[in-house]
Parts: sequence; C-alpha cells; structure tokens
Amino acid sequence: MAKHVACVVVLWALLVGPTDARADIVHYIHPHPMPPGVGQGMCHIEGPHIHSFRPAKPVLYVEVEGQYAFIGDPTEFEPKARKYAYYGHHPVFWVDAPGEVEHYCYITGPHYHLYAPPPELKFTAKGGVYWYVGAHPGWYRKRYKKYRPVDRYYASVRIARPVVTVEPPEGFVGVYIGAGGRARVHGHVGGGVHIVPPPPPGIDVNIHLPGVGVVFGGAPVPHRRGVIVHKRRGPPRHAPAWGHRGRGPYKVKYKVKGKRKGKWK
Amino acid sequence: MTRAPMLRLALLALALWLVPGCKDETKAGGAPASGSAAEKGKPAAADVPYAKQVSTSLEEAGLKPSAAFEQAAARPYEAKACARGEIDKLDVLVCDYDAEPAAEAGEKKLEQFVSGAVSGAIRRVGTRVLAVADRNKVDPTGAAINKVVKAFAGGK
Repeated sequence: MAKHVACVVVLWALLVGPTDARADIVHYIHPHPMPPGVGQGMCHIEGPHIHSFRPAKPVLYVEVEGQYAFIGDPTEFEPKARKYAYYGHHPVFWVDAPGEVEHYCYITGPHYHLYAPPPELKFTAKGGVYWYVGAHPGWYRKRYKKYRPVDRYYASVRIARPVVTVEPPEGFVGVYIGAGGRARVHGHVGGGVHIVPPPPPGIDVNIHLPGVGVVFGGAPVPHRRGVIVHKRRGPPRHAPAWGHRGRGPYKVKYKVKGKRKGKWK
Repeated sequence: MTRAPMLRLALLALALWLVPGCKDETKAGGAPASGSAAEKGKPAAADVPYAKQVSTSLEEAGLKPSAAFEQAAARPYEAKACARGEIDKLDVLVCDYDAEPAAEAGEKKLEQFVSGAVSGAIRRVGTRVLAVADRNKVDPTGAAINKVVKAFAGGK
C-alpha cells in the first residue's frame, strides 16, 4: 500500500514539478573553483562529476566533451592548495588525452597549476618552476586570440605567484617582446611566494632584441608577479624572446644593476 | 504558449511508464548481483539480499555506509538491480547491469538520480555503476564524494 502511495506521490510530483529536470546538471571534470555562495575554495572531485551550478568565472575554463575543465591558477580560490609552479605557456596536459595537445595555457609569466607535468612532455624544472621547452603546436599563435581573456584575467588579478629567480632554461620560448625593440623587465631574487608588488629596487634586467621592431618601452604597466613591462606601442605578440629558438640569432643580454636590498619579499 | 500542455502530456506518459518501475522494486527484491555464483550453487549470492551484497562490497572497498542500503527501483535506470543507501550523509545509489554496454548507457540514466543535488558523481566499474549525490550540502569541497568514487573505483 505504501508503495502505491509513493507511486502516486511521484506521479503528482512529475506533473506539477519543474518541467526541465536536467537544467541543474552541469558537467565538470577535475577540481575547479566553487562559486561564491555555493562553496568555498576548490571542488576536489577528481575526474568527471556533476554540479547544479555553472562556473562563476567561465573565462577560466575550457569545454571538453561537454564538461567544464578548469585551466586557471588555483591560488586565487584556495591559497593553501597543493600546487606546482610554472612559467610561461604550456600544454594543458590534464585536460587533453595522453599524446594529444588540444588546449594550451596562455598565462604569461609565473603561475600555478594543480598538477605536475607528466614525464612524456618536455618540461624542465629549474628554480622550482616548470618551463615548457617542447615545440609549440602549429596553432599556438592562432589560438592565443581565443585564450587571450585568460591571460588578461591573470594580468589584472592580484594573487600570490611563484617567485622566479633564475634565467629560463635552454629551449624555453618566452613571450615575444617585440621586433627590434628593447624590453625592460624588472625581476628580483628571493624565495617562496610573493604577492604582486610595487616596482622593486632589485635586479634590473634589460633584454635587447636588435633589429626587430619595438613593442616595449615607455610608461610602466604592472604585469605579472614583480614584473614591470614598459609598453610603448603595438599589441604584445608571442614569439621567441629567450633562448635561440625560431628565427635568427637573438642576442639576449641580462644586466644586473643592483643587488636586492631585502625589503621586497 | 502551446508548450505547456505538450509538456504535461509528455510528463504523464513518463509517469505512466514509471509506475511499473515502482512495482518492479518489489519484484526485483533479493535479485542476486552475480548470476554466476548462483549457477555454481553457492548459497551466498542467492540467499543474501542484493542490498546487503552492495553494502558488503562497499565496506570491503573501505567505505562505511551511514545508513543501511535498501533495494531501490531499477527500471528508471534500466538496471538489473539497484540499492540505495548513505555514506558520509551522501545519497548513494548502486546499480548492476547485465553487460558493460548496458552499464555504460546506465551511467547516463543515473544522472537523473544526481539531478537536484548540489554535487554528485557517477562511476562505473565493469557492470556496476555507482552514483553519489550531495543533496544536503554536507560536502562543500567535494572531498567526501571524491573519497567515495575513488574507493568504489579501486575497491571493486
């Protein structure tokens, strides 16, 4: 009898209940930030799972087979999360199938991810940071337009970032600073985690790129952890800046103007 | 404007289809999870109720059901048998299927079980599918759900 009553109740609920029962099913894969009001920090469910909400910051996700996959830096949402430091652009290996590179992280400069790189990809660990030293895929520049919002997001948000105190490893392809121009990049020596600071009186690194145009120089624009980029004109583009990859013999010169005074940590 | 009556009709059809599913619950009671064991004459699989088998297998995987597992309707999920219980205050449904392709299709069907919950996950191991749903917002970081699905995936 009780079961019949239950069936009638189910019938009634179906008839008067919400007509679109599947609207609250949103597919995610891997950990991701919880939206404010629903939870705090990160959702720690590994692999595919379901939530009743959509991402609060869709710019930090890519869609993989109908699932939202978080490709951002978890520090903003869970500062104490276990994470790994990266510098520059690299494949988003935790989203792609093994052996495939379909998604890319275009976050410029130092940042964190929740995952250590797999051995089959060409990452070099130097100075406590992973640098991608493999070849970028053919669509690398083309797709930057698509992912630019992610890069812009992290250019504007103030979060703790890894401190990079070493020169890039051989084979690393950094941000294209400009053709024929001169870029002034301020860095500093230190350890641990650093919150985006004011311009430091630390190491003053000058990178000279003779004979290839000018992009940087001029009024300082806060950019990444402890890095001040002087932008004069033209949009930033991406191309080899460090090392000797790509077109022609770039001459990279690092000039240390002073020692760190110890104030800027 | 004309969508509402159509939706009502569709829901009525769905409800009529579901009614036998309610009956199915009593009919499927005590169905063995493993046919092969019953065929071999082992009394364990045939005699032990399905819900108890599920509960035992979850315990063997390192999970402690906080509420006893009970036989649940299998037809809505097109399963052979289903059992429902609680682990760490999470709503858990385990369904067994005849074959892996059916279980694979069952994963999609079990989404309706998770529907309505803040968080949930579905995992399949062979012909058995587990769905876990956080209906009472007891797992804001998903840690408990992660523990359940990982134990299930590695435990069976």
